[in-house]
Amino acid sequence: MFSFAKDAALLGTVEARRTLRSARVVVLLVLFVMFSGLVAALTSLAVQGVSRAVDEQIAQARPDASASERAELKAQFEQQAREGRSEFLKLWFSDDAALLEAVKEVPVALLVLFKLSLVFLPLYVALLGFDSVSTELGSRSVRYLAIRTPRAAILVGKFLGLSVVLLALVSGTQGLAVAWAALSDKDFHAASAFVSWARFSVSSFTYALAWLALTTLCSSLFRVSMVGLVVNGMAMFGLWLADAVGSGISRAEPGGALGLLAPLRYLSPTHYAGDLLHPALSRFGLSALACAAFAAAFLSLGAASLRTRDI
Amino acid sequence: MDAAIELVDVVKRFGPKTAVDRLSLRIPRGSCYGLIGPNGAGKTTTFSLMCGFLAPTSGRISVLGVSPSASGALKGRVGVLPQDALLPPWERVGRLLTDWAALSYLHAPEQEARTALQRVGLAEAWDVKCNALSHGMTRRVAIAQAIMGAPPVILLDEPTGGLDPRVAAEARTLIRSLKGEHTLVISSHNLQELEELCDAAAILDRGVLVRAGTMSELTGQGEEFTLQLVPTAPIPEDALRAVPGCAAVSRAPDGKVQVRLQGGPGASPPEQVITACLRAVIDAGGQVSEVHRGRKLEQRVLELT
Repeated sequence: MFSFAKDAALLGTVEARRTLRSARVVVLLVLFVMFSGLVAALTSLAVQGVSRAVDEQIAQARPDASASERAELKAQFEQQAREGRSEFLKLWFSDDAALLEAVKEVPVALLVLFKLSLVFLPLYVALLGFDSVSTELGSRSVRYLAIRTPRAAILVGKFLGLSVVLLALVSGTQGLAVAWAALSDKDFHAASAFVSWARFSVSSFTYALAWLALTTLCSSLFRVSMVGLVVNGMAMFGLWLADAVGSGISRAEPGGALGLLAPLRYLSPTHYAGDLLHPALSRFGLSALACAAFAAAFLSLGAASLRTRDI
Repeated sequence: MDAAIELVDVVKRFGPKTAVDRLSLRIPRGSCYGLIGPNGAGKTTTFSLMCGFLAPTSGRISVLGVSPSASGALKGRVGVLPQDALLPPWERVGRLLTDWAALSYLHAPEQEARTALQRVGLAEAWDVKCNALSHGMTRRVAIAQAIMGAPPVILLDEPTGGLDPRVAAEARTLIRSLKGEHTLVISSHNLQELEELCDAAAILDRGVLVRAGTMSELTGQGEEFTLQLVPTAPIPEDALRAVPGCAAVSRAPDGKVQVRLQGGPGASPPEQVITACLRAVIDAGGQVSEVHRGRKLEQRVLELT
């Protein structure tokens, strides 16, 4: 067991070194920055639009109002805006009151960005690691490793190496997003920003591990990396669909004819993403455990496949 | 002698194609063993089965007493030069070999890597990226990784394939230096090389074992020898037939004289018969330009496959 862990750690170091040296990390970082920039620009425009609309409404409602009346009106509209924000987040982010309370100081744009980043995270992870094992299988360089270590250690090593890179990428990109939010929103203080960064990073990373394990599994099944990537994409879509169908049915008609399909949502890591930001440790822990279980299941399948296949 | 590698009734199928069919082999510890055969004979498949890269469809394989398919069974005990495995292009040679040495749990990984690289004459390639190596250099780096840590068993698939004559000769010298201390298995198309290096060999054809034995047995070194005489001088066939230990004398189409030796218990040693035959030729005024014991391995393989 110790030798397995030692081998996996060494292979993980090699994999992390390889990935960090490749241009792919830079490309992914640039993609994330572009994506964040787009989301930030759109949400900023929306927020500015709302703010402008409030000012216009105040001006139109009482053109002859005194300063104190204007302040009162503004407070009313701001209260409406807060309620609007709350409704928006309930609809779009989460309807859990405790979770919404926990993120009340976080700018909407950052929450939108976080939510969207979770949607695209599986794809991001797939692009990072789709060829981690298949390249070695295709070129048969895996033979040099297989003679020296159990094949399962190769798989776990690749996963560990990519996890380290992913942690750096996720915390880095979340850091960039939070820093941008802190700079553009004076009400978002440094302490809140730091806590948000830590929570977003931990949540994203935990969620990403399940998808990284799926990517490693798909990569271990094929000698041609692109085939692995396509299958990875199909698996991602399938899991997303399972959650969408299951969740949809459980909300719409849990006792209906299709009610049997409602538990499908539990078979997808997507289902557990929402609670990864939850302030209650039990909710977070359960979701994190589910993600870890998915990761373990995918890695076990990959290891079984690699152990029995000809290389 | 104790077997380092043993294959018992091994079958390997790829879909409908049977690449290796009921192959049984026993490779003694400390021997240098060749795998011989034409393209598609199953040499590389057999080699890959011994390394654990492929799992047998049926049958049993044992390398140093363990199944090569068992997880991590060969760690640090077997060095392998695969035929068609590429080196990771992004790695530097020194770093790569050091990592692999560490993965084999060698005591001083970097030192082992430097020594192995030096033995294949590539010490200067330490900082070179693998994708910048020529084919010959890549092959030598691959040989270096196989001999790192002096594993008891070393399996080499086409060790001199694609090497220029000088480097190939150096590689052969290196392999010769490994003989005795290690069990060596060499798969190659170069029959002259195998005849020169190996103590024993197996000849495969279409996945089936055609013949296995010592090199002396395979080439018939105890059965016959050939004399190349200077054509202008007389050929004393009768005098040769009269030499004790000679069973038959015949002329080959290329003019060479083939002498078959008497076998069985009590037969004269081949060296004694050869000396007596040479004396008979010289006494008859003939001149000998070449003596070859047994048949060339190439000739034997062509006969059998």
